Amino acid sequence: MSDDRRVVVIGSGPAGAMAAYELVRKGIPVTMLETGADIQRGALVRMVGRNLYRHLPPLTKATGFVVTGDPQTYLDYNYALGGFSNQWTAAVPRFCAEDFTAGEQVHEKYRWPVSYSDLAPFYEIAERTMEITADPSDVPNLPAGYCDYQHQVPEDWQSVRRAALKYGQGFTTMPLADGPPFLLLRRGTSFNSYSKLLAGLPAEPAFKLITRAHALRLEWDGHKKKAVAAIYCDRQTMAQNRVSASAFVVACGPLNSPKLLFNSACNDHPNGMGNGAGLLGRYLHDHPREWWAVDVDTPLTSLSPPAYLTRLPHASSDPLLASSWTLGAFGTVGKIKSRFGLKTTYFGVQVFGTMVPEEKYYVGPARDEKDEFGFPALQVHISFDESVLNNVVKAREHLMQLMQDAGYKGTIREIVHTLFPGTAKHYGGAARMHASPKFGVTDGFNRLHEIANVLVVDASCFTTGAEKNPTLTVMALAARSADRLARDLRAM
Amino acid sequence: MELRRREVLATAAAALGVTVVSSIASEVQAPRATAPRVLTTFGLREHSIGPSTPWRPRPKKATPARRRRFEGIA
Repeated sequence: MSDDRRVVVIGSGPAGAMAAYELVRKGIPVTMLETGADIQRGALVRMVGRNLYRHLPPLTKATGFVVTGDPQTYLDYNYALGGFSNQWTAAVPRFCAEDFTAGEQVHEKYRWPVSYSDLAPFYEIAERTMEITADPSDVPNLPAGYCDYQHQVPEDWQSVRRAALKYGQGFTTMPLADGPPFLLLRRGTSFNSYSKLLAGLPAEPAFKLITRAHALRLEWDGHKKKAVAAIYCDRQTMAQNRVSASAFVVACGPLNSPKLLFNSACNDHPNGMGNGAGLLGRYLHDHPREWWAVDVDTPLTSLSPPAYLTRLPHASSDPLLASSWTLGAFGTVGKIKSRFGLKTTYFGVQVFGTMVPEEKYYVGPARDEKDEFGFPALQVHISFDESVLNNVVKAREHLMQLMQDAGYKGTIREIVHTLFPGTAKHYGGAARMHASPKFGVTDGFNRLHEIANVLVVDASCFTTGAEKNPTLTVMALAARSADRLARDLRAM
Repeated sequence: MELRRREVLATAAAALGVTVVSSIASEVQAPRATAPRVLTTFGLREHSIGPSTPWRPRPKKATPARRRRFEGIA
């Protein structure tokens, strides 16, 4: 294993961990920088395939950000081994083929440089590490993936499935990386990207993990015309250290990755690495999310694991606007009921909408404020337009109509207000992929158009945001770009 | 009798332009001359779709307890 090919991966969340896992598996040595110190402690009691008790550790309250869009913008962050996989709900639906192509009809700038078929093998690589419970059949707008445990929605929900099919939608089990049926863990989630992907990697020199290492910037060599080192701050000593490598995989999250690139400004890249066209940080998008509780007039089997109602067909929807619905049981009692097929008239719904990524929503260096390391704080400018909010409101009405078509009268009992940016923790797009540098910061293999040895592999590379939970797609993209990087480095 | 009382209450509330938040409104639809008022409670813009829009519950603040309960769905 040649140290000349060493790659620095920044961030141990699902994207960084997947990239490191693939690189090490393919013989490339990796040094990982992680700003957190350890996995966050939580608790998970999982029995008979249901998470009966889950205590999620609190998120790190983000500092070093300035909000200028919607004042209620959420900016939670997670500085821990495993990143956001310490808290996530572990929902892992694949994107469908049209999710990558639908934007092309709106504008060339929404054309993804990858297709579903490019990504399919890498979806499977990610899925095989995750111990997923799912229904292994394709449904409209949701291709089936690899799963270790199978679960079908209960029999009495089949009328809802048939009603959904009439609208061109699928109704199936939500694919969840929830692990085996019985678990007792001192962390909040079964799939933690550190535990599942990194902890088992061979030790140095193949894989070196540096914790409490907050990456500050990348160092540019004007002669070699490439990035040559990552500069990080040791959070214990507050000393700045340098680690050199042949390539750099940035996976600090959709806000901190562009920040790192802005901080890496140098003579050749005065506005930040990868920002020659002024697109870095632009096209920030997020999922509007809403929760509600629904009463139905006729009892239905309690849903645990939850069910997933897929989006309306692309052909009959407004371009790039869609919603998906997750229907599940409340609380431990609801989950126990589901095990015995007991019925309830009350279930919870989570809706994700989408927004059309626009240049006017962005992250960028704040003019006056500094972060704890003396770099400019990150200005976050995003809000949900009327069309985005209306789309979520329509989603309520659509589900009630669909339930009625299936023979159930549903009433929304309670709406929990979370309709502002950041509540879904699904930011994306600030270092977007596009085949052309005119519309994107990174190319089809997540490399900066301007600097081929710097890759951005987290959700900031999304060209558009489908209505599905993004983590699995992020991991598949990270695996694909790591595979390409490994091949390129071996050929050197 | 009970239904009649509810009808009167809901109609009176609508006439006064008050947004009805009690559960009675889910059973009785008060006639509306205009689109429902736009709420700004907790910053949510509750969107009016038109006069025939059914009553919807007012959004509740996402307290930590509610958040946990709903996050447990998936």
